Amino acid sequence: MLKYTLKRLVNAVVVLFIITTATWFLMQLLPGSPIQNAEKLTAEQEAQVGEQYNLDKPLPVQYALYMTGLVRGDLGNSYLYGGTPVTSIILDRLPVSMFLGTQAIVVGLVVGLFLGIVGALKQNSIWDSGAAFLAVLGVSVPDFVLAPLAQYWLGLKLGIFPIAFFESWWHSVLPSLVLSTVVAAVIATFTRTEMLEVLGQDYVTLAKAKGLSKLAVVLKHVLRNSMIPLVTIMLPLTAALVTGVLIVETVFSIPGLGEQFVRSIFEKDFPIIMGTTILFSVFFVASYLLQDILYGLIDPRIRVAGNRE
Amino acid sequence: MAIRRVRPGKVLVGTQLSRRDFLKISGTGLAGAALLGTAGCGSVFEGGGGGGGTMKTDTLNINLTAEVPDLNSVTTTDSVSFNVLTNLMEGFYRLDQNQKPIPAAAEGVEISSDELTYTFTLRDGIQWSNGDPVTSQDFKYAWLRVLNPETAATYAYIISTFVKGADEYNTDKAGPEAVAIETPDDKTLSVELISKSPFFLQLTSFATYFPQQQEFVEKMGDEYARDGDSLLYNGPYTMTAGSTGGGSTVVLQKNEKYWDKANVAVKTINGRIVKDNDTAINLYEGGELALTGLTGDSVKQFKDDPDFFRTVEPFTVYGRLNQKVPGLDNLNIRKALMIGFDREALTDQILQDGSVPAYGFVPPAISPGHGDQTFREANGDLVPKDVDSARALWEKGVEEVGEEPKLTMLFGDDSTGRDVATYMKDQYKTNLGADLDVEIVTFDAALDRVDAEDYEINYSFGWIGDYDDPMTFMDLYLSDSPFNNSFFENAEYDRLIEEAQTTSDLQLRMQNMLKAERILIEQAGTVPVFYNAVSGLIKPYFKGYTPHPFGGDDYKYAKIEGKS
Repeated sequence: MLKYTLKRLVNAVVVLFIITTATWFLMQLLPGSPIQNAEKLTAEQEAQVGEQYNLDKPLPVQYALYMTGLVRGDLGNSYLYGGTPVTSIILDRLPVSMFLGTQAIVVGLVVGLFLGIVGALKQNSIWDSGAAFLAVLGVSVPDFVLAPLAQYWLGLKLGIFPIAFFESWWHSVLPSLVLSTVVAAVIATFTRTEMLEVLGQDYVTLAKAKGLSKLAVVLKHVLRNSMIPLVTIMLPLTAALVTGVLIVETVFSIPGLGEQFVRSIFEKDFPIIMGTTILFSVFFVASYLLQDILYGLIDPRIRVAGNRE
Repeated sequence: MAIRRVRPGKVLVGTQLSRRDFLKISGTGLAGAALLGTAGCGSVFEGGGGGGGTMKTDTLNINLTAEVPDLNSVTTTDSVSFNVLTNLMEGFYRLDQNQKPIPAAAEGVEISSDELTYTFTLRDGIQWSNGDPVTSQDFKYAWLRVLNPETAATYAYIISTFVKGADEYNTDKAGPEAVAIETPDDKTLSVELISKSPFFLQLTSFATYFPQQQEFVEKMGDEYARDGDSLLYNGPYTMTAGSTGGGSTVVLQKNEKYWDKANVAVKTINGRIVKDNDTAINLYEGGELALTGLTGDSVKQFKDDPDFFRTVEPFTVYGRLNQKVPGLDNLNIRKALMIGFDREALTDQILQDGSVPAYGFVPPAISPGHGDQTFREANGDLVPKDVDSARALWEKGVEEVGEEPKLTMLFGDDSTGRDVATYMKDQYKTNLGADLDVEIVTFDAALDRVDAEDYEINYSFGWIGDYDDPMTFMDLYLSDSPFNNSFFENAEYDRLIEEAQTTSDLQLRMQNMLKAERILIEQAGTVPVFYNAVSGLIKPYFKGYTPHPFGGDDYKYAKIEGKS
């Protein structure tokens, strides 16, 4: 098991290195200058300013400089924000995005499970159709449509929620709800399918035959066994949330990472683009690593396969 | 002001993203945000900023449109920072509500008879927010810091173009002692200019000319101007919350040490950061913002609203015809292209953002001109409006060239780029019978190609004036100007402008520039397209809103009246 974990860990570092390098070089292909106000500078002035940011050095040298900084944990300073360190900008905003995302996942999980269970137990009833309708709506209405609509109607017109900003927990409710729709919809559909399959299994019939109450059968046997594959879809779901976070943070004026990331690309603030990409990659790679290790723990077959090599 | 990339139909008031721009980016589905794990609750919320939802009667909530990039007056360049800094600091002069420079940190100025030396005397008793006196050395220190090549200030040219010896220091050809700034005592600063610059007093109100206290700046080091505590203030407001790059509200509180505090009416300004224009409109309608800009389609939607306002900026969007390209070296071809499209239909039906058709190069917002007239009024509309006359010119040109030139128009793909491209192609087809090709690349790629003179025809960019004088536009077409990337060369134009730059006769100076603009259009050296406008909504209770076209929004003159 230790060997397996170590091997996965080395893999993760290699993946991170490749992502970092690829992003760094791709970024250099962006047209335009990262220098502010470059449109109004003569070529000579622009070159002089570039010197201060090492932009005059050959690309391999710039790359080497960046990577040595990175190894020391230095993500550099923002071009756009008057040399503010990238780490302080990211650390400022990370908790906000994490809070919003976590809340959305929790809400989505609860709502999705509920809809899924109702759909499976009351198959083909009006409840089932209702849950299915909500699920289809949740998957097919994108956040960039839902967020402005929710803001306009629930925020401005009905005045139930704040229109925007992030000043109290109450402010976070509407954005979280918007974000959670995709999660809820996917989990609902998934839970329903899995549960229907498990409900048809022999051991469920056996449990029923033993005279267990309906609730006990659902909780102990059906739900538990339907949940295992759910672990697999949580990760892609989290990834799907990311695009949502970019939009929801902008629409609701929430000072998170997603919104900042978009701006840094427009402004070609290379250090911020790099810092955020590295952070996102670490998050993804770490999740996959965790997932692989968890699988190894849950399912001995995977672990054995890993050990054989 | 300058971060506002010079693009047609682009964001007004700051660097707000249009929803379409936004979708382009988010659609690429870039890597993910950290969403799992536990976040410290409570601490993630802003806690009401300085005002929360509804506004008190001594508080104004305005939309900053983006995080504040840089509050260091020496290096800052963008409109958001300018909108904040204008209220925190003050130069020798400040612009009044009619955009005229009035004494501010200086009580007055003495101008030498050759109008080359300006001697400013500081007002008695003016203080920084920590109680230290503001001295003439604070100005000299800041100006030299701008020019120091190591500072890499991108606005250095706004000093180095005018102050004697400044360019030499800025380009590392001489030391700081070469710069002609003298401070004989704490109250006096005299500066010698390269040539007569009747707009120099106005320049001293520009952020790059603000003072900084050496002791404080050095104490703060890299942390200088990152947040409210790492700045010293000499203007009407101090900053009590917010930081550069930070996403939370920027709170400005009336500066009790300000010399003219009796005339500052609004106690608190909350600069909210709302990037999405539709969100800003919702917040405005919900009463949470007193002022917001409008972009793209929303201009059309609100143009009859009683709260609607529009200001035409000192900003001309113009076409470039690369005269190194066969065909475009022909005067009649160029003239046909200049005349042969309907500008009114372009602004009213394609752009629909309040922009004004341009028939001259210098925009109407530049106020100096001939006598009471602005420059634009004095020269009138120079581009002929008879679109049909263009066909004869085109045919004549084609005959002179020998064959119909195969020309390609390069466009930047911003929110209106494609629509404008289709429109121009169609106009030339209809009005000239000419079949031009269209090439659309990203906005920045187009900018790079125009800079590198690797294009034939381009209509994507303009120029925002830096100071209130026609020269900020007219020197662009000198044959050796780095911004003249269409190879326009005219000896008479050069002579007129160079004479205007050095003469002490202000009448002659203006006459030369008027004459030069007529030559520029007669030679179809440039193709004026439209003058950019800013539109927005402002609550009726917000009086005295004073945006400076060559600076930032000034809340010193703001008042709240009739708000319950």
